[in-house]
Amino acid sequence: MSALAPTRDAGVAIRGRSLWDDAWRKLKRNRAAVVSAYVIAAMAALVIVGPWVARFAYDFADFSNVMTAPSVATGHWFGTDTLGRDLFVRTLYGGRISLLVGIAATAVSLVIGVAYGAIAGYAGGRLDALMMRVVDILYALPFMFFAILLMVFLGRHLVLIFVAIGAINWLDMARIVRGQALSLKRREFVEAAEAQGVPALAVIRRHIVPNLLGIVVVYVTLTIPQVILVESFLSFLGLGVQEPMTSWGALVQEGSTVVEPAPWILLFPAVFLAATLFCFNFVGDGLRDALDPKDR
Amino acid sequence: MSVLDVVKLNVRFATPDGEVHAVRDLSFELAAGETLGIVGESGSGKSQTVLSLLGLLAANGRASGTATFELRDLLALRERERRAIRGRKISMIFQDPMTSLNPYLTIAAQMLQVVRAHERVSMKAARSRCIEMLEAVAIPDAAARFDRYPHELSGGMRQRVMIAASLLLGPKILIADEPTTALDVTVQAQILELMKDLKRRYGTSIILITHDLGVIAGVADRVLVMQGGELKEQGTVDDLFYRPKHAYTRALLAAVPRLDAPLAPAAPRESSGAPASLVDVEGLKVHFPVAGGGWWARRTLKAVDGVDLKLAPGETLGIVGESGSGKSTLARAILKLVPASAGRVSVLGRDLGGLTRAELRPLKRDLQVVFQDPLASLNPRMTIGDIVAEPLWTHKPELGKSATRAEVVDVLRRVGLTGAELNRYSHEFSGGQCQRIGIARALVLKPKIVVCDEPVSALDVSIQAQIVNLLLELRRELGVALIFIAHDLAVVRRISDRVLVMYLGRAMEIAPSADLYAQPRHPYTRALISAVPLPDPRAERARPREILRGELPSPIDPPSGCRFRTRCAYVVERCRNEVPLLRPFGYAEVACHRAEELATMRA
Repeated sequence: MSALAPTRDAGVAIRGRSLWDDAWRKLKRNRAAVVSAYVIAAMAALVIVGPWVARFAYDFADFSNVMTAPSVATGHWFGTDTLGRDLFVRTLYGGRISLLVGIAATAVSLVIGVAYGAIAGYAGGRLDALMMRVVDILYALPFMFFAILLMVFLGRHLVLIFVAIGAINWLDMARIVRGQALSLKRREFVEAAEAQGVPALAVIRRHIVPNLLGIVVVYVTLTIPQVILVESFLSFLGLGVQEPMTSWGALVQEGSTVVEPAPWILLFPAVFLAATLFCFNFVGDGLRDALDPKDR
Repeated sequence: MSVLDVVKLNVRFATPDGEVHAVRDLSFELAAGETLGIVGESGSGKSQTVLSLLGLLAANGRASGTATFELRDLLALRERERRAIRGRKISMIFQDPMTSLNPYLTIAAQMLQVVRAHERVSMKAARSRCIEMLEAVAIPDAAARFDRYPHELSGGMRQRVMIAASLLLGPKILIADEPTTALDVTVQAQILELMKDLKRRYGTSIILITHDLGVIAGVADRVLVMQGGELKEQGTVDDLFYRPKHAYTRALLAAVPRLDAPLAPAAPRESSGAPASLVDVEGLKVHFPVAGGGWWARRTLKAVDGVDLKLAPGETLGIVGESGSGKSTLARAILKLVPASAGRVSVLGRDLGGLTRAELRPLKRDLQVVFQDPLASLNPRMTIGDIVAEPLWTHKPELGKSATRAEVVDVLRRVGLTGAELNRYSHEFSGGQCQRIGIARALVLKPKIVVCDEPVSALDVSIQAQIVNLLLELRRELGVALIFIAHDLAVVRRISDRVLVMYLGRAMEIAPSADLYAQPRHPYTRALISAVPLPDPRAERARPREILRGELPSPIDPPSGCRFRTRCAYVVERCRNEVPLLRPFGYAEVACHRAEELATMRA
């Protein structure tokens, strides 16, 4: 039998190569995703640090330079808007709000959606049916109607935007996670855990959630731009952030009204918004490829 | 005259971890009308060899050397020329007949497409040719089955369809890559018979790839033995089995479980008066509601339909039967992974009936499980150390971190690993190693009972032997009782004290291992034993076979009376009307009306 003996590795506790390590390696080989990740990081750094070093306040109206084109001489690098406010600092402030909304609302939907979906999917049966009917009912609420109602009754407030978007977005997440949990539940390693007598919550925590995180991560990178877009849409309709605070969506809306006399008012925030959306989508695609176990 | 002449074939794969040399300097010939077996373990390069001949290597693979077929070098052909040869001159069947048929197309569509891709014939002519071929591979009612979808056929039927499709254009060479590995022994026997018959009839040269020397013995004329991409030995099938030259061939031969090998010594019994049984199953039924027969109608699938069994401390009970016999469901019911519909399961004297998950937990400490698919039963995101430690976290949380770790390392060493695997992940290990890890997880709590659900079915024969030896050793050391489920009778024989034979959810025969194999009482047991291929070409050729015809009937609508009657060679009127009950006969218990009669008939 010696010829068939398994080859053994000597030594103590070799460090393993987890699936995450594998995915990370593959992601690093994807040039578009890596470049996009750097662009996102740079954009985040810019919108955080930029306003502190900018020469103007975001609500300062420079009446000597109303609707002027970009110029180094005046200090308004991106030009000024219809009220003479510096577009550079406003674009950065807008980016702060847009990214904040995108990330915060996604985080809300991530936490609620994953927990809700994993429990429903793993529990199955009646609890699953009940929990998913709740999701269906919330789905049936028209989003715009819901957002408008919130604004009308509670007044316009930044937090309300998070609430409105988060309240709708976790539904998608819950559905995706539940579907994954349902199929994971039938995998043998979950059965093995049940056969050992591992408590239900521990099964969800150790076996279900880590195995669906791959899909969730991809979905998150695709949700962030979606949420940014929804916020922009709300702001475009005038339901979003309140003047003089702004977001990319609000800036684009403003710019669209004066696109002929002053195209830069539309151009700069639109380029920032589009670049961010592109980059998040590239990173999401890269993650999806990297986490696909079939493509090793 | 050789049909195919391969000289110095090399196959290399470029991977991120460097180049993998899958096949090294392989040369062989295939004669006209010959069946050539290629034997080797997983990773020996046997599949890559034939894939390279057909130009089907993965994108990162490269083949060099020459392979002369009809005066042309297969490896130098362009893709278009290769496509003309593939299917028409050289065709291939794969291991899993489900995944190689498209589930969205009917059998008809898939077979017709083969014909019409290569030849200009009318739809009608093509159709009749396909149906003829289906009849040639012994598909009953071929014309009706022709327009069905793959999922409406059983695994054995699908493999027959694959064989029919591959023979449609009268190829010179048929390549079969592990064609029976995914099938039951009984169906395997049918398919092997079919391949022998087809070779006689059509004179096709066959390349049969397998890891199981038993399969080769009865079918092949010559055999190549491969290991690590290299040819270790080649010769006629008799030379190889009776006069193996290479040490590796001898090791492979020794690993094949044989029905005539000496039995393992029976497990030591605790002789403390009447042994209380660890597991006690009485009249167990497990029924599943399934959709069917109209919109709202529900029918019942009777997976387990009235089974009794007892497991004594330290004993090993083997459970065998074809797929669909309910053996795995029985195991799952004992583990309470599926609820019992009727009857009683008690473990260590406690009825599992009304217990909640939390109440069940203390029992699970003594009742562990090893699953069939070693890789799938390990969480891919957890380290080996955590996987093996998990039962300890659940049942012995009072152990500290270092004590838990010490126990994990200890049990890993016990199952033949080094203990250095703690921080690694399951995908870094081979199937055999993963199964060792699965066994370590089952044993870390030192349970009294371990249920092994087909623990070796997914492994190479040589690895199977290692795992069975390991289980035998652990049983001796730890005195653990095993319920060992398998569809391979030869494997069960090595390890079991008693064997339960199941068919369509019912017990057909229970007997001590030695008696069951020496004197099978039930016709079904006899058929199962006869289906096991022997690693002995002469005996295999000479052996009269009792091949089971047909397939397992549906457990939704089982036959009346004796469930086995539809496939039994000894069926009489009484079998139709009266359900045979399990009754003692010698050392065995048999559920057959004619057991005594048949025994005297054979004597």
